[in-house]
Amino acid sequence: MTTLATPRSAFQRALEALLSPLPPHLPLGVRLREERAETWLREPPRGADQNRMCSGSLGVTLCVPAGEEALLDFGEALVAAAARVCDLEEQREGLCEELGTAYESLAAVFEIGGDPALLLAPTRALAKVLDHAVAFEPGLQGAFWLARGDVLEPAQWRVGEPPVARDAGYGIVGRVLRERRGLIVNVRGDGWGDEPELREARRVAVAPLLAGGEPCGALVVWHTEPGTFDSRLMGLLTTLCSQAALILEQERLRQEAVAGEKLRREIEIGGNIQQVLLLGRTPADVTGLEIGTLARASRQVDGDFFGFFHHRDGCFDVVLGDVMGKGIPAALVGAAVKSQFQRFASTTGPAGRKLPGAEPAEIVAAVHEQVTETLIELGRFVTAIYARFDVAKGLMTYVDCGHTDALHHRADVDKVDLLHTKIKGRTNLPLGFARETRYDQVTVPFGPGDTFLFYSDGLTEARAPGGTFFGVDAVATALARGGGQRAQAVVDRICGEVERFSASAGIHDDLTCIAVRITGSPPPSRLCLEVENIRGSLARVRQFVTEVCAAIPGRPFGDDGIGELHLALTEAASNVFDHAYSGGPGALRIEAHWSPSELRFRLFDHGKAFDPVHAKPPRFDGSTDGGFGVYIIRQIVDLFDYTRGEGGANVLELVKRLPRKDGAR
Amino acid sequence: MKHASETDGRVTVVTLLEDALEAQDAKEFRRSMEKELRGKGKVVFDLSRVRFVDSSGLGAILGCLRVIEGGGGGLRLCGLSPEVKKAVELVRMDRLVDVHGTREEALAALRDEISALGLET
Repeated sequence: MTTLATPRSAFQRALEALLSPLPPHLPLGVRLREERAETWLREPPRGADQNRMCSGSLGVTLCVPAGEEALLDFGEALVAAAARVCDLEEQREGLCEELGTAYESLAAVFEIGGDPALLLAPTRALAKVLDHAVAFEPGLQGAFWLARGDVLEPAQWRVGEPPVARDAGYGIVGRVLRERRGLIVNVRGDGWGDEPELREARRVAVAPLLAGGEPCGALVVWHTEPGTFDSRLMGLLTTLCSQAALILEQERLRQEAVAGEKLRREIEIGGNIQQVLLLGRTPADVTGLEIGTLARASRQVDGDFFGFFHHRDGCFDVVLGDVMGKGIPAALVGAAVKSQFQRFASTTGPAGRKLPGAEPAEIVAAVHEQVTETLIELGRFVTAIYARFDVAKGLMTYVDCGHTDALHHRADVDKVDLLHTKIKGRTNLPLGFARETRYDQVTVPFGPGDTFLFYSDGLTEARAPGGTFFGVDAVATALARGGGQRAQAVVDRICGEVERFSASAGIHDDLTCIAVRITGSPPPSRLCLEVENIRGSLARVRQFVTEVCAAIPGRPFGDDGIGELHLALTEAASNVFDHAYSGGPGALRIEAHWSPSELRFRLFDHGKAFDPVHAKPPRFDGSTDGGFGVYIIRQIVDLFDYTRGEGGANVLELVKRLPRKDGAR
Repeated sequence: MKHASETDGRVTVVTLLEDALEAQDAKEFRRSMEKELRGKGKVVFDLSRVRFVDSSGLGAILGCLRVIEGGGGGLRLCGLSPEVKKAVELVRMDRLVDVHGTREEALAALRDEISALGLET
């Protein structure tokens, strides 16, 4: 640490002056080592063990968090600027000594150099510089010129009429800028042209303003009375110009810092777009599969996006895309393309066809039709993969639009397949590549425990410090190692390996990936039973009804409801045994199907045609003791129907609406 | 259908011992009951062990009711599970037969009826 005994060096002061306008949260630590003492001029960012240290020249060590390496360049530029400021100060001190007597001038120099408010307001600072210049002698007039490109513009003036902008090579200032050294003219007309402000002048002194050795403006003073300008005035003007150069340099650096802050804001805005529009939520309740996602945004926002579209239990679409290019424009394109996927995946297809009937290839084709023209106009394209998982069928159908190859870890053989799409010798193009193109789909079977991985090229193209890519093989290896783990664990493992691989090189692209793991078959929405007409079969039918009621999600039937269904199904089965088979041997098959709204039983037998539905209503006076069965069924179910099916089967159908969750029927 | 019959005073209590009274054994139950209960007077069917009765079972009980009432007797039911009670109500049998919660309640009701008629207990 610094000790009080060690005075701050000019370099440290210069560096501190340059660091002071930086926003406090800018993650840049600066440590200065001078005379064996080390001082943190800016505290290191938090989490110092993650920080990147960079030992630069002049005993300065810069410190930034991993992933913020771009700030090192900025820090080094600040160090270089401080060194330059030191040089200027030395020059100024030399000039001040030479100046000797001009106390007024010295005061001016120190006043300007020591006022932080002036450092932050260059116009005011330049005004002060010019005031001090014209104070050198009563009656002096003056102007401060700044060169912007080929034009010389007056920044400050102490003369009645404001000077007009002019060509940078014009007149006496033009000459000084060309020659890069001061000029004194004590005889009118010798060296200057017809500059309007100099019309009445009898003597003129001009000092160039040099920034980094390059002329960027000039300080001009003149007098309308005859007399003599000498080297003392030139010394003052030169010193003031050095001071002005310093102020302008600091202003430039400050604006760079502000621009850096603007960049950070842009990253922040882009990050919000990404989180809200491009990524969104990962669904947690898809039957038969589970999903893990990784979305690690880089400093510069990419246009990576993903989305999930849930059609029904066990049928589920995933899209993952990557917009070429970076920044907010890419993020906006990504959001627009994703919204088109959302639109076609979840509403109506291109030909007014209701989805999810549309195949993935049709959805991609519809999106292509919508976005390609615009993407071509914008000169952008989008790679994407659109995949549909049908858990009941055990099939994954996908369309690869020029995206990175998806990976499929097959649990049964513990092997990773690269889903490299080449259909009939061609691959699908990215969206926005060509107006006339076709999108083909591929279907891959899967089994329980399989994991699919979709990712953007940020993952495979992550670089090690030596420059090698992480590569698809490493992703596949990481996926195989994660076999059997939950999808999120697989994704986290891959992310961890990429980070280890990149180490100090840092990760510059977005890392986006989705793992979809097949957890098993979905609970069936149907169950079946076959029974013979033997003792105990009716009890088996009731047991079946109990099983069905237990299998329906949310178990909508309570004990009373299940009891009623026991009764209805026993009656229906008894009817089959008693009438279709006349009490003789015969088989009965019962299928139960359910949806969120109803439960449907269908009873199939191959006995003689028998229609119980149109049986006569029973009498309730005790005079008969039969014929109640159908009446009971009708009391319990919402629909009771009979058809004589093809192949001579009797089909009885009983439909019961599912009780609503709030208990209302 | 296995069952146990016992006499409590002038009341015959028949306890059904299987958990279902349904199509496949309702006929056999009815046949044996009709024989057994002829001229028995007051009868109570204790259904507390029966979990399920279908329309055939209900029909068998109705058959028994006709035999008992034909001989000047009466039938009471007791110990009905909610599921059995529901079936009884569905065919409106609760209008034809008195249903009691427990065997004791059924017996007490029958005793009252007998004493009201001036018969010996």
